Amino acid sequence: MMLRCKVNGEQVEADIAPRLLLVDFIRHELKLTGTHAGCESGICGSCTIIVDGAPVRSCLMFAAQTDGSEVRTVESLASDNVLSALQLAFSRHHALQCGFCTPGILMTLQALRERDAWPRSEKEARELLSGNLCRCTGYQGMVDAIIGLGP
Amino acid sequence: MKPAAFTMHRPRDLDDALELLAQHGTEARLIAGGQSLVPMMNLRLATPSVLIDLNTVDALAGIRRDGDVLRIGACTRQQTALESDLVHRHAPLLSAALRHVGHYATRCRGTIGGSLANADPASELVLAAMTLRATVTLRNRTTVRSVAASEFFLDTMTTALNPDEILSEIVVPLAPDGTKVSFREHARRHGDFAIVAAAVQLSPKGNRLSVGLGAISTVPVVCQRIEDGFQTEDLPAALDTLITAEIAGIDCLSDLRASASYRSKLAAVCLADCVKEVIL
Repeated sequence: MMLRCKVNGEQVEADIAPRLLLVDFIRHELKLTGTHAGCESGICGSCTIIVDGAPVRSCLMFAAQTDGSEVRTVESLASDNVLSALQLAFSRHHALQCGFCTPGILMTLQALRERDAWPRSEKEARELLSGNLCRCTGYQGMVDAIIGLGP
Repeated sequence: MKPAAFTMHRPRDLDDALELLAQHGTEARLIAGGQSLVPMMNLRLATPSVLIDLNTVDALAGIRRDGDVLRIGACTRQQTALESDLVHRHAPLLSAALRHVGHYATRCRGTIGGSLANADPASELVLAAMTLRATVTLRNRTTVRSVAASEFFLDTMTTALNPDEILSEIVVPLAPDGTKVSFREHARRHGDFAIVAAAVQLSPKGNRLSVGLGAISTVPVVCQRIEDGFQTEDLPAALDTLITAEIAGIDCLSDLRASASYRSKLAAVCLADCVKEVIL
């Protein structure tokens, strides 16, 4: 079926199979490999991207469902190779190690910034981060980055 | 870890969706948020040959007050309901339950109706619907029927929905201002499936207590003994006895997360904490 959507500001048109997962469309067809496929069952959160302003698991959506939508991936955060304030906060606070889970966390946080739902306390930050699995950092660096950056 | 092939339909409106459903019958599955269905499809535990995507049916989303009830459209996102002032004010137990549903990102996609139709024994929304004596509206091409939560949830992931029907909304009686609620659950990790969940609502005059237990059996349980006992007995003195009698009557689930005996003990603690939170 035909799919027309916007990905990181660019109009995309593709003939796709209905069963194609959004994460696979982004990685395999569009070659945007910043989005990582982890568990493919919605648990780990690594594939989280933004669709029409909302953070969503791209392994739990079919590409066909984004017809007419605006999709943003981690590649949209930096402009002209300059990191965004959010990305710089992660760098400053050592909020990542291997980096596999990082794109999903950055996109979840990016959506929260835009939706005025930024965590106001360490407790809220930890509750939010419970939606993304990280096996390296122990989350402390991310909590510091969230609190350090502020809303 | 990839779904089997299927045909996808993206209906224009509710009539179109109902028509497609009638046409494809049991071959078709409805998809709303997909937060439970798509993992099942990725694991090939579900292999529908036709998917009907309800995300294009705008009429199924929205929250409105209608007389003495709150009507929440089936495709309303869980996060939208959680942030809704109407829900917060008129169905505070639902707000409290929603805080425990999944994670921010899954709530942004997952829907109220999807969770109810999925009827997972550990679903916080199923527990809230039972405790609040909510009803669901079911539609096919020709008829609309209203079914009480207690008649809708039949078994683990089994409801009274017919193959040609769509759950279009949940109808919740308005909680008067001053209603007190408590919702607690025990899970291994925040956002994980509950091992036990309890929901309690006390009317503003303090004369009526609604109590439910979830994740403990195939369908969440309304704790009738405690509700009735609240009218006649002296609480909290009689609470432990009432809770013990209530839980003894439940056929508790035993699975990888917890044994039946662990669940029954945890339920007693969870329930006592919840009731005390609203009556003391």
